[in-house]
Amino acid sequence: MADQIRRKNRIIPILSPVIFSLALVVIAATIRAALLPTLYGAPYIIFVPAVIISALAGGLLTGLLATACSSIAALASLDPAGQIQFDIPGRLPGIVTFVVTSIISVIICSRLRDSRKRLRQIEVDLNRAQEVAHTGSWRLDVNKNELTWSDENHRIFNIPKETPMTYETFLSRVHPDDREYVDKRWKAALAGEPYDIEHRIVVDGSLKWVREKAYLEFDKNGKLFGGFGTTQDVTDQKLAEEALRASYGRYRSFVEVTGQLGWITNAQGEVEEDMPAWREYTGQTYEEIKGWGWTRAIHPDDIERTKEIWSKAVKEKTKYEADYRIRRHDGVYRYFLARGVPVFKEDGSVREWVGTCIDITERKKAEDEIRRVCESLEQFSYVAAHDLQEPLRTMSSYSQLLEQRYKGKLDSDADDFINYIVEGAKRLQKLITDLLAYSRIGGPEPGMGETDCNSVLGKVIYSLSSAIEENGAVITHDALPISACNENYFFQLFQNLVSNAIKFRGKDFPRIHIGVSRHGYEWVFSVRDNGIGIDAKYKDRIFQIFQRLHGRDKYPGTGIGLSICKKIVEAHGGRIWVESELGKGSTFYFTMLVE
Amino acid sequence: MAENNNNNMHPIEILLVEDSPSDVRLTLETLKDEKISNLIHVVSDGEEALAFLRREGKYSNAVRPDMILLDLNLPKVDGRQVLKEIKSDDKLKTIPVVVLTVSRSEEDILKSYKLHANCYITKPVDLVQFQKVAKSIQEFWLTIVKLPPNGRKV
Repeated sequence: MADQIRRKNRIIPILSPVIFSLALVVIAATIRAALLPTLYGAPYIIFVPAVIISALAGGLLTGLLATACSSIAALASLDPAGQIQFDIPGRLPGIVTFVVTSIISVIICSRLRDSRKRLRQIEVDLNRAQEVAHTGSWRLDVNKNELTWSDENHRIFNIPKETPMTYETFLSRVHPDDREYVDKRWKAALAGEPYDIEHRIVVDGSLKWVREKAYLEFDKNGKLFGGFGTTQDVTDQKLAEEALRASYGRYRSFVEVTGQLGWITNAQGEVEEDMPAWREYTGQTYEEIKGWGWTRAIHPDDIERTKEIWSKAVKEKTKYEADYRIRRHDGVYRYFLARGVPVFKEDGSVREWVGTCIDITERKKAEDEIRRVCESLEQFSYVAAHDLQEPLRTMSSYSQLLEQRYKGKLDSDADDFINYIVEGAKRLQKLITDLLAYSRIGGPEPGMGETDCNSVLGKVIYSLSSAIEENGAVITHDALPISACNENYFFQLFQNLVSNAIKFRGKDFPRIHIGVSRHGYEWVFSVRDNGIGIDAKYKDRIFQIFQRLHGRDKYPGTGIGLSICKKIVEAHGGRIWVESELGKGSTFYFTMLVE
Repeated sequence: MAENNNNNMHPIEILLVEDSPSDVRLTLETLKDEKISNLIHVVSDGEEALAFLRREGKYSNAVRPDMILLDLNLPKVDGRQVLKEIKSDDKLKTIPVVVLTVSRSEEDILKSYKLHANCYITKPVDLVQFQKVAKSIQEFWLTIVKLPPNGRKV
């Protein structure tokens, strides 16, 4: 009978219920008619299967229709002449009994049918849910020793549905390296431990990750009698986790390579969102860095100052910059420069702060080294020049005293000798003074500030007024700019160049012009003269310290003037050079940055 | 003899506190060329200077100077310390102290005046300059300026 029902279930979509039930009734009537000679009476019971089948297959209405048709067929009979006769009165009581019984059966059967429909729908939904969630399930019946897998479980493991499932079949699909672990945990579950594990499985050569959970039932004696479990395919999540871990690893490497950490806080300056780069570097956890916790990774001596600067920046919504030491994950402290800016919303309020920390440890070391070297060098040159002065003064004074007292009183040789000593001492004196001046350049000078070059030139000209008058020099100049150079240095620079221009004059009266022009971000100054000029091959040598191109008797000077000029110009990021023609004159050029 | 404002016509007594023998000689040579008679006593370190002034030990018969020429860089007791002690000693502080030293540093100049030096002179490098300076010292301090009464009689 069950087989018959199943077959009919497949035919239903094809025939409409009406035709179906009519057909059944006709079949039943025919059977009845055929059986009539052999059976006693006219049993209506033959119609019952038809009614029941109709109700099961087509529902309440189909069943009722079948009942009605069956009733009509039951009332009919075939007379010997082949005519259909209806014998209502005689058969009515029987028919009524039949109808009542049938209706009850129809109701029961149609309910049955609805239940079955609902059941099937639930089954379909369950299967679909498992498919969508990539989660299969299984059930273990210990008494029957049956392990049943849901469709999705079969799909996950790619085992055909008809395969008999055993624990061994399952374990064989588990990744060889994980089998021992899985088996151990299952055995523990059988002993009552919770079962919630992740492991790999190998399906057709490819790797998958699954999460297994199970709920096992034990009887009063602790013996297992059943269990239910789920298998969730978590391959995608696992891959995402791997990717995340790889990117964290990348963060750390990136920080190591560039020495830069990115950070982010909310508008109040507290850490809210995770800062992976910072955490990876310091080894702190998210809980530890939240709020103001990140400051715990800062060197104790720097914490207060950093908090102060940061609070101020957050309050005033201005650019943030601070330097402090951060403790690396291995405990080593390194110097960092932190910079940050507020990110504004459309309404002008702050949404968050973003910034970076750059490892400046190497730079700081280098800076300290440079400062140390500079200081010792400065000290050295200062002390050297100073201590040289004392014996020099003695020599100088006494040779002059000798000259004063004994000139003309000893022989002329003595006069010459004494004179050489005196001159030598004077020159040495000048050299040391110049050397001191040279060594001081580049050191700390009070006030960089702005210098009006015109007024400086004026002072220079005033300081050289006697030389200018003696030589009949004429000095002209363009309107000079205001430069961001230290006034003292500018004075020395101009003084050296102008006094040279006067000193190295030709036969004509010195005519000197100071010019300036602008080239992009630089001022180019020029000091032009009509003096004796410079041979091209010495153009670079003259800027070297103590280099002279002429004998002492011809032109005085230690030869340090131009090297002082060069040092000053280069200390301000400029260049100095000369263009000249022997006998015609020279033009000295130097550049200064327009600040 | 050029007129000086010294009350009792005695030669001016000068205490020269200087450690460099060549500088001592130079100062002596320079000062002795003048018509103003002065007697120069020399000590070569700070300790001796104070002993001389306080007439201690071998200086128990020392004369009280009318003026002190003081170098700042001295061995044993530094010139700055000597200056301080002179100017805080009631019996000595009236003696004019001329600081005559090589240092040009502003710090030294300021410090000396704060310790009540009467004036500060940087020793010029050039001899001729030095001679001019020495002459100026003599003219100013010994002829123009009135020195306090020495109380030498005591």
